[in-house]
Formats: sequence, C-alpha cells, structure tokens
Amino acid sequence: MNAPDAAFAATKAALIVDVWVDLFAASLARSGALGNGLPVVLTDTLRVLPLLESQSPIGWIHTSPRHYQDHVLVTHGQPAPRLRIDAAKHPADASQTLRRASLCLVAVPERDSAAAMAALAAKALQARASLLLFGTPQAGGWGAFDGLVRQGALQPVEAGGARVLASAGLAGALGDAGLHDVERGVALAAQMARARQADIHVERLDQAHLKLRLRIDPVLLVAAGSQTLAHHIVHEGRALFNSRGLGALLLPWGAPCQARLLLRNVRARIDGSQIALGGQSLAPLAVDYTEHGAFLKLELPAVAPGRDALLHLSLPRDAVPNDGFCDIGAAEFTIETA
Amino acid sequence: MMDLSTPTTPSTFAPSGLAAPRCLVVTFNRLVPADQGNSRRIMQLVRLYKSQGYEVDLLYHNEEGFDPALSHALAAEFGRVNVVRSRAPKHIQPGHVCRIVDWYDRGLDAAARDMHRLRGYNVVHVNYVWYSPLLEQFASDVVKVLDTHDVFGERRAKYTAAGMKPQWFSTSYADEDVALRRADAALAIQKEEAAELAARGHRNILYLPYVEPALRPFTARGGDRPLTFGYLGSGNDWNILSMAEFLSKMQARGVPFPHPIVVAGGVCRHVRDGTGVIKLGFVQELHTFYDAIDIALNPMVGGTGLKIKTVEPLCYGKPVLTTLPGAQGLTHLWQMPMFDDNAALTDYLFDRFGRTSGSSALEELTVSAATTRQALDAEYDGQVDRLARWLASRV
Repeated sequence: MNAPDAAFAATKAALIVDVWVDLFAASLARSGALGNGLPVVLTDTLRVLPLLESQSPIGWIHTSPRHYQDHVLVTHGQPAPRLRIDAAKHPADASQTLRRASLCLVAVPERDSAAAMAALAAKALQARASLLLFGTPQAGGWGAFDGLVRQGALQPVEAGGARVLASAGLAGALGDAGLHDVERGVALAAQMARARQADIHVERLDQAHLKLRLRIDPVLLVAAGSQTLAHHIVHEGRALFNSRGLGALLLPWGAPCQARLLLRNVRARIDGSQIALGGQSLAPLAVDYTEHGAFLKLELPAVAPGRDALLHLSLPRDAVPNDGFCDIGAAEFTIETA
Repeated sequence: MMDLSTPTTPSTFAPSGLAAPRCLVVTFNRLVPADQGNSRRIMQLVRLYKSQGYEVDLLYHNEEGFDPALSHALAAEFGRVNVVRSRAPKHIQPGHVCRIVDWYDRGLDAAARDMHRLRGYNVVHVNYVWYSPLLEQFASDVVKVLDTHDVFGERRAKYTAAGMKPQWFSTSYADEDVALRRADAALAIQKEEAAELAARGHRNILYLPYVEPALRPFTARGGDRPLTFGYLGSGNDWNILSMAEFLSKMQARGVPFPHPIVVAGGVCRHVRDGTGVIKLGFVQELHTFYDAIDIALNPMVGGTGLKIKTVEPLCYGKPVLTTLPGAQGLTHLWQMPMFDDNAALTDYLFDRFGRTSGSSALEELTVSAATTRQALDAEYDGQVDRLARWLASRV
C-alpha cells in the first residue's frame, strides 16, 4: 500500500470507529457484563448506536445543543423520546445519569466542548464506570482528556486508524485483537439474529474487516425537527415526514454506506427529491417503484467528524399527500469496514 | 389547604446542583384533561410529588385513548412519558370475581424496567390494586406506593345488596391482601377505608383524602335568579339509581318543590322529565354548572370509593346536602346536615325550603359549608404532611 492509500485507509478506519464501538459495547451488554448499570454515551453530535440499543437502554449526554427529537421503541407501546440530556441545560440530570453508568463511551470531539466532556467523563470514572474514549487521532479535543487518561490509567487499544483508550477492564476484554475483532462481530451478529434482537448480517471480509447489513425499524432513526411532528411519530409509531414532505433520518454509525429506504404513501415520482448529508447534496443511485412504495437507493459518504449523522430528504411537493403523511416503512444499511 | 402548584420543599431533596428525586406514576387513566374522578385523584398525587421536589415520569397503560394532543399535553406535565398498549385479558369469573393475575398486563414489566434503568426512580406509584404486580419489578431501594382508590375486596357485594349487577373490578380479600402487601405504603382515599384495611391486618396504610384547591369563595348569593339546587353526575348505575329514588321521593310529596333542580352530566340521559327539573346535559366546564346553582345535592343510595360529588361543590363555594352514603369518608369533618336516606333529605328540603325563599337556610348552610371546607383543608394538609414526612424518611 503506498502512502496516500495508507493515509486514506487510516482516515476511513477512523471514521468507522463507531461501528466497532457499537459491536463491542453490544457484546458487553449481551454478555451481562454491564450488570444493572446503564451504558452512557458522551457526544457532541447526534448519532445512534443501534446494536448496543438493541441490548440495553442508553443514556445520551450531549455537550452541544441539539435540535431534533428522535425515538426509541417501547415493547407493546408507542415510541418514546430517546433520552438525550443536554449537559449544559441539565447538569444535575447528566450527573445523576453518569452516577448510574456502568459503561461510559466518550466520542472525543473536534470542538471546544472537549473540556466539558472530559469533566463529565471524570464523573463517570468517579462512579466506577468503565471508560472507552474513541475518535480520530486528529480530533482537536484529545488534549482535554490528558488528565483523565492519567487518572483513570486508560490504556491504548488497537483500533486501526482510530484512536481508542479504555479502562483496564475493558482493554482486557478487548484482548489482543483490539476493537477490530472480527470473530466477536460475527458471533454477536449470529446471536442477535437468533434471538431476533436485530436484523443484522455480518460477513467476514478478511482478518480485520467486515461487511455488515443492518435492517432496522426506521422509527429508531427518524428525527423530528418540530414538536408537532415528534408527537405524531409517537402517536402513529411510524417514521413520518412532515406535512410538507421534509424528513430527517439518523444514520446508524458515521461510516460510508449504501442505504435502501422504502418511502410509502408518496403520490408521485420522487426521483427529483432533494437529499443532503451535512453540506453535501446527494442524488439517488436508483428509485424503484413497487406496490409497497418507492425504494430509494443511496450511496452515502462518511459523516464528517463533528457533524450530526442526519440525512435530510425533501420530497417533491406533488408527491406529498394532502390527507396524511408519507413515511419510511423500511430501512437497510450496508457498510464495509475495509 | 397546602398549595401544591409550586414546589414548597425542593431543598429537602434537591440541593443546588443535585438532580431532583424521581417518581414513576403508572396509570391507565387519560390524565389530560382530568375530567374523571380517578384522573383528578392521580393528578392530585402528581402535584403532591412535585410539591415535594420530585420529577415525575408517567407510564401510561393506554386504555383510554392516545392522540398527538394528549402526547403533547403529557409531555408538558411529565418528565418522561412511555405509552404501552393495554393487552390485559381482564377475565371476570362467574360470580363477578376478578383475579389480579387476569387483570394485570405483564406487558408493562419490560417498559417499567427500561424506564427505571434509564431514569433511576426513587419512588414508583401505581394506581389500583391490580397494578400492584408491577411493584415487583423494582428492588427494595425503590419506595413503592399503591393508591387503592377504593376497597375492591368483595366490592361486588355492595352492588348486589343494592339490587344491582356488579360492575368493573371486584376481587377476593385474599387477592387484595397480597396486592397491598406488595407496597411500602397503600393510600386509602377515605378514613373508613383506611380503618377497614388496617382491621384486616395491614400496617402500611396511609389515609390521604381527595381535596382540590378552592376556586370560589363562600359568598352571599346574588338575588338575580331563583334559589337553585343542582346535581352533577355521570351516567353510572349508582348515580342513576340514586337520582331516580330522590326524584320519586320529591314527587311523592304531592306538591311541587318551589325551587328549580338543575341536573348535569351523563346522568341526564336517565332522568325522567319532571316539574322543576332542568336537564343541562354534559357541561364543558364545571364552573358553568356550579355558578348556576346555590346548593348542591348528593342523594347517593350507596357506592364505593371517591365521593367527588360531595367534595367538589366546596371548591366552588357551594354548600352540599348529602345522604350518609354520599358523605362516606367525610362524616367526621362534616358540619352541614347529613341524611340517613332520600326520605330524610326530601323532608329537610320541603321543611326548610318548601314554603319560603330559603334565604336564611342558605345563609346557615353557607357558613357551615365554609367551616367544613376549613376542616377538610386542615385534615388534608395534615395527611399530606404525614405522607411527605414518610417519603422523606424513605428516600
């Protein structure tokens, strides 16, 4: 591999680190290693960890304001707001949640919020939660965590092009293979599929790389930009667009991926939909019209560090029904960690 | 009466920088708008917890509908709201025996566990004895409160004694006893019910009456309309039976009562037309009814649980004339006349109001109503204080 290729691979590995973090944390939760404690994620961007969430409720603590409401599923019930605590607005809530954490995943930020996040992570450490810090090696926030790394005796973990530090117990659980443990990923996917906890298929590509295909209830991903839409989503239990045909979908992980979305109740062709991820405009790879609705196929780039993993869709006006809402009826994502 | 609209002692539990203690309330009632007695009772407790500095979450076991407007209203009232569809089988066995195991929905367990894992509750509060199995999902470090709303052990007997078909939930004493033992505290809404449960050997009973804040003062009546009596009730069997008996006793006097009797609520559909009886039907807001009357009537012949029709007029500055069954749970505080039955009630009405304008009798009743209200408030404040101290000792 020449130098530019190696640099590209390292960058990509860093961008997909949350896939591996999700696989590892989900395997911990599934094994019962978290006990009754709560897995907590410290982040400054809007993300999801769908595999961990299939095993346990997650407390999300945000160090930057967020403007969307997303949801979790409730057994036999209506979707409920995903617990996302704004640490600046509700510091006591954040502290209380951290006191009950058994695992604290820290997405080391790019921006100024690193000091606040490090202070929160220190509270998790005080509560004897296991810590796992992850991010791109270039992330500007790492410096703020130096004291915490010393205090918690956090150990570096092998994670390809990403930088990952973990409490001794977690580092031991990660073993020699580090975060990119293909065996762990394959075994976990098989267990979850057998238990019908997630519709995931994992294929080994080589010793350190996987191909994952995740089918997920889109209600877990839809993000509402207004209270009105959020309450309609809770009421109907569907991943709704708003009445003007605007919708936002959280991507599972920040990795580049292929997405297939089933758009239902659209009344006209949607080839001309406007689609954006971060600052990038995207065009669909294909749109297939079926009796179930329109299948939209997309090739999505990586979510840039420090950005929300939000895919925005704007349907043509004539595709939006007057007597109800369009929704996303199914969602499938395929990524390769190579 | 203690004002529960604003937290009075948050510092007890939530010193600066510390999160408030959390309470999970579990109910099948549509709480907003709280237009049923049981919803209002639950909101009374929600206000009470908030006044003690608690953050209150809701697990709504959806049996009374859910829509975006309700979702919005609940989100404004509660910290976190989870809604679970009811799948309780609710079998009723021959003889109208209901087993708690048949009425409890195990589908609530996972939702409650997940909410507790996320939010870490200090108190879990369930309503009605058949929700008590949910308390077993919480470890001993969580304080468990059961609001009974009513005594349901052999409740069917009260219906059959009145010649009615038993309605809703009635269980065995043994089943109810097991349910009560699951709670650290079981709230009784009436003093008599608290005594009955204590007599069955329960030592975790706390009496907490239902009182709402006063909305209107007790003032002299304006003379711009005739002296008016009123009854507001839903169309349940007890209300229909009570109103039918009361009106038949009035008509049996053979002379018309000189003052109008306004009837409102669902019971109107079951009330026969008669001289002097004005049927309003459903009223959107309670004050429109209470502002239109001078004296409330509660001619109950029986019934169970909350006696909201007896307490509610006192919130709107109106005296109440009630039979003894209508004043059950309040008799030790009651300063106004009470009547053994509807015969005695009609005797009183014709005696004091039959031939006169009734002004002096109304004046006397208004004074004793105000005194009753003060006694109720004092008792309520005392019981709230007792519950608050108990909670503080446990949380």
